Amino acid sequence: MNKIKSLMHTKLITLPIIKLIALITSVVLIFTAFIVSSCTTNTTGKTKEINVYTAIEEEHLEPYLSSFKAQYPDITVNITRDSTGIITAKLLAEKDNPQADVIWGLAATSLLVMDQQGMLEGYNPKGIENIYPEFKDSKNNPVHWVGIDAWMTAFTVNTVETQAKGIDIPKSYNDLIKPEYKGFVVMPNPASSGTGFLTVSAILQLKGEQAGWEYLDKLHENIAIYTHSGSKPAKMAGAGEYPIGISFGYKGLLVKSEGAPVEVIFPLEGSGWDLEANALIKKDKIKKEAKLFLDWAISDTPMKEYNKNYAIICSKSVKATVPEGFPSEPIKQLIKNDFNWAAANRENILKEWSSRYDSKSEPKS
Amino acid sequence: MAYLKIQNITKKFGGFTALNNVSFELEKGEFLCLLGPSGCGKTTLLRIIAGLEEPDSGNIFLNGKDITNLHPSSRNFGIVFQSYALFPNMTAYENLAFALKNKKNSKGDIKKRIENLLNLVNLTPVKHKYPSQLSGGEQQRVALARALALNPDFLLLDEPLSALDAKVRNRLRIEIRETQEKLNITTIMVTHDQEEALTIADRIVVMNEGRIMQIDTPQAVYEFPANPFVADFIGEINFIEKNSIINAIRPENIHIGQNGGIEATLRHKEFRGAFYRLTLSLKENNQLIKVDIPSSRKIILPENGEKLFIEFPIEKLINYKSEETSNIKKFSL
Amino acid sequence: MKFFNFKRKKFAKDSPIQKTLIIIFLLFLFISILLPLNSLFIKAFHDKEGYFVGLGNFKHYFSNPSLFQSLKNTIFISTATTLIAVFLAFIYSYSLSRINIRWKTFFKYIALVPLFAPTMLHGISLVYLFGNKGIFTTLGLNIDLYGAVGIIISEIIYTFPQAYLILLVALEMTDYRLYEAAQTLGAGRIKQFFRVTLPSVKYGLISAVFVCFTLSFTDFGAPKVVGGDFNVLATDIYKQIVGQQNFSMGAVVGIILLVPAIASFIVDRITTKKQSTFLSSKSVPYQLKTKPADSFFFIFCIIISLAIIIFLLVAIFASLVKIWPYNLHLTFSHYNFKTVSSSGIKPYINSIIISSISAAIGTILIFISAYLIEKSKTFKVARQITYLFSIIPLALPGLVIGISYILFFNKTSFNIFGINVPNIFNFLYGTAAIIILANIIHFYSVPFLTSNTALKKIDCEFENVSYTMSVPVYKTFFKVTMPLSITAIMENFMYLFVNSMTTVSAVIFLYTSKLKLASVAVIHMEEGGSIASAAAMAVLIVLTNIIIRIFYEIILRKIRRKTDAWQKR
Repeated sequence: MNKIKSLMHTKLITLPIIKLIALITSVVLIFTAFIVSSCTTNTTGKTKEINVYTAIEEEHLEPYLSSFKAQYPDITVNITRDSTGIITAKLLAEKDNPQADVIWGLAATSLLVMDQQGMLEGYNPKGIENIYPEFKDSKNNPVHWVGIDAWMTAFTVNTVETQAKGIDIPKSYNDLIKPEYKGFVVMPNPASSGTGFLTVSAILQLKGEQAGWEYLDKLHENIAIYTHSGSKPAKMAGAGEYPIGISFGYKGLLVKSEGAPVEVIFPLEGSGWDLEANALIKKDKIKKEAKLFLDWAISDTPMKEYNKNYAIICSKSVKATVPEGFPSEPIKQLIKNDFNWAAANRENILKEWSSRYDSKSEPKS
Repeated sequence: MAYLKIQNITKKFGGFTALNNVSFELEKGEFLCLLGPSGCGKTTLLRIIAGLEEPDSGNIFLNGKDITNLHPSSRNFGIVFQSYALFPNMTAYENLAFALKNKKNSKGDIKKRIENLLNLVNLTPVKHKYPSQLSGGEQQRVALARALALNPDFLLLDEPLSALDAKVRNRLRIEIRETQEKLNITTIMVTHDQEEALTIADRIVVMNEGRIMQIDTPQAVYEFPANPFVADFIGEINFIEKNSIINAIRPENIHIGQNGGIEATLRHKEFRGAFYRLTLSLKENNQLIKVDIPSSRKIILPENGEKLFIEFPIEKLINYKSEETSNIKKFSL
Repeated sequence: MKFFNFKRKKFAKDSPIQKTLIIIFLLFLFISILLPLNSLFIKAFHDKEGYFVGLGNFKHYFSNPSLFQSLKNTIFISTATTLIAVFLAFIYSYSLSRINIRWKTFFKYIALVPLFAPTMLHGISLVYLFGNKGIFTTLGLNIDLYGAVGIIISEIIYTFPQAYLILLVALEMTDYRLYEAAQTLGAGRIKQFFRVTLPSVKYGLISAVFVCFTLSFTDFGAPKVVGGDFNVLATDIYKQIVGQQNFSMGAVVGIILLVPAIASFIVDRITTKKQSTFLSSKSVPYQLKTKPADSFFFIFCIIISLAIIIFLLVAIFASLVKIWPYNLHLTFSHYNFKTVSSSGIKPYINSIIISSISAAIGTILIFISAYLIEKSKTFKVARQITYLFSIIPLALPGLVIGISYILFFNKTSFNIFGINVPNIFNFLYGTAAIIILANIIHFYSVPFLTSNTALKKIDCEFENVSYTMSVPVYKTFFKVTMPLSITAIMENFMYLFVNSMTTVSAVIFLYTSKLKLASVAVIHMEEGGSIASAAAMAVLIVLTNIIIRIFYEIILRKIRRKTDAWQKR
């Protein structure tokens, strides 16, 4: 008798079962929506998707990539962009479980570091013969890296501010350490910025290690701020926030073209420089789209685009024009740069630099 | 056969025994009060009958069927909570409709049923008001009407009047009883107010510390309290100990003799409207005794400190064994 | 029907769905809070290569002068910020609650404006006001912005509204009878202040101090913009993780960041308990009287409001000027983000989508879990643990959540007692879901406590009433509980949305190139020196939040008109 009544009650309870089911489904839906929303971004690309890591300037990505997209509309290119130091650190950190398929336009010094760790796969992209021998890997065949263009140190100097402060426009590295510039110079932090590193590396190569560090000690006295990115010093000089920014040629000229009262100075001793270069990541499954991308990246159309911003490009097949503001013979402005030396000493240089200059600041109360 | 039967219910919370083997029965249409001090287990018992709590052992039978294991929704009862638990975002009308709509009733039926219920509790004029716009008494009546909405087999009331002021409480007491009689619905009400229990119930279950102390009609509980606890809890009483026999007597049953009887001294007197409450101390052992004298009797009362004589009519004395009173706190000034 | 037959339903116990949901929530919070934190702690005791080094990383941290300097810097910044912000907020909220001044509604709302802005916006405005080419600097007022001064000013603006909100509540909850008693005893206005007012807001003050300290201790946005070379823990953690990918050292800094946050959490728990017992039901609200010094307080409020408005206006101005300070023509060109970033306006749209989803899912999840914890009867221990988990995020700075999430979700497998267990949550890494999850967890506790308070006010017999009337519990939930809590639910949505829009700390580690957020874009553009574009993006965030807030107020007013009939206030 008890049981019968109990069963009857179960029936009573289950009357609104449809509504109960509705409730459960809605809860489940919320959770699945949650999970699906996460999966969609994860699985959009079937096989035609490549992850490209790059340090190319943000504003250049779109114009550069447009011809690749036109040529291969079915390949999705996922760009991970950050400053040189960060992309380098990220790639090194992901060494055991690489997310990137292709590196595009990263400092050659950084690529050499990775090559020393065995992270790069040899591949000769189509048109490799058009690249000047000094702008590509000479030790391996197939090559482990290929340059696309070169960028170099330049000072961006705000003429309104130098006039107001009654200081001269610095013309050389040696000018920069004059006491009159104390607190007027900004430069990028070499740990995070490629421009910062190539500048420091150039000074150490020009002057030799000991004299180089002595020079940097003096320069440090004049530095107001070390910035995170290589372009910020040019921007800051443009805004007059600090009159002299150690940056790279392209950025200074851009600031000038936007209308800021600046001069772009290529130092007399020659500019530190590096290549923006490409490489294929060594991993279990190398996608053929990755190779297609590398082929495209040194073809003529993108080369012409690179040339709009950089005076030196690495391909012989495109006749390089020198954008306004650069030295008329840009190659001559470059110092003699030993990439292998820079790559091998990169970690030590950064360590030394950090221990000398990182703890500069004290609370100012 | 009893309509609702509570059989050997025991409930423990950790080491604390809230209900200790409680049993009683109700006839159809009976109004029963669970009366006792707070913490005596009366509310727990009500919640067990409702199915809101689970007993450790024991059974509940409704009309001969065991409902102990049923979900509240299938026991078919109505309940009024102490807080009323009216839905604040629904008008009086909507509060009633909420339960009815869930059963597959036609709209017309629901409307008719609600009108009837509102009529029953005299709420028709305020049916479109929200609970916060109603007086305490009106809220209580909405709660009652809602409890009755689904034609329950029995009704449970958990201290339904405790939140109201004295005047409204007295009026609603009558209304609840009238409604209950009109519907002839079996009702259990929990209260800690002995006056409420005495006036409203057919029978009272007096509880203390998880046990039933006495089950009887209000008159019997008052006149013949089964033990000192009941005697003390309901109304006023004096305990007089003699030779390990305890005699209990209500203050209104003590007579003041002109001379002769037991000698005592008046310590204190207070006017209580219908009567005077005198506090005396017996000459023999200085025990304090309460005596009520109807004010209508117009006798001249002695002054504090004066001597007087009292008599305990033998037929009004209730005898207990002395150990039974050990846990009863003695009256003192 | 078979589904429910396997176990007979007895008494008024919770339905199996309710029980399942409680367990699901418990697991959800365990996985999204405790497991990631666990990864953080493990990482802090292992070196870069993954070898166990005990306290080695901590030793390294404290022996490295530049890293240790950051700790000292951070403590200095936070102490200064806290002292000034709490002092200003106290006078401000005192003026609004205890002084008879005009324009109170205006003052009340304007003080909230900084809550709608990412902290970078304050930094950017400071650059335009006090930078080397700032408006005030060129007028001759040089405050040597970059470094401690700039950070402290930004943090004051950032923490001021938080302190103000806490203190306003504390000051409004007072018993006027105490003042009447003091007056009859002949106590003057100043004596009353020290003997009655200060003791009565003691707990509010303590709470405000800890909140301000923690917020400025862990903030990342302002030091990034105006910190210059003045290193603080938050920028250190960023350099360690993003710049050097040194997760072990990042984890160490993360644990150091946790210290004041946990202290503040404990103090907050204690003070809220004490504060609530301070008032009796017989308390009389403070009676305002006009007093001679009132104009001082009015002028004070005007100055603070002006400062807040100026910061917002300067940011808008910064986003419109062509080339500061050489070409002051106004232009919208900085709002064309394509010129500085290939992602253009997309981060802003991403932010709106992510914030809306975070707010929607967060509001629903949080309310349901608060309901289950407050209104269920079974699984008492599970509910208590879930409650505890739900308030833990109060003690978690965004940066800590961000690092913990990378460490936990990026792992493909775990080694538990020598057994390799695959990480089934790894698929979330690098997706929108992990950002949404981080937002929900980061801002979980405040809406949870709001829901909890709202639910506590609702009669616990409602569920019992519905049992007795055979109305299913979910129906009572939708028809009664939800309508009664609608203002709390809306407030929670608003809170989650605004905070998800402005936050940068947790998401800076979790965003992906495909899914950049507006606040991250502000950081990146500022890093690249495109300060005007960064200002433009920050302005878009503020304006969006203000507009959404205005909509919220309008809807709230409409709902209030409806609910006023049944809500006693």
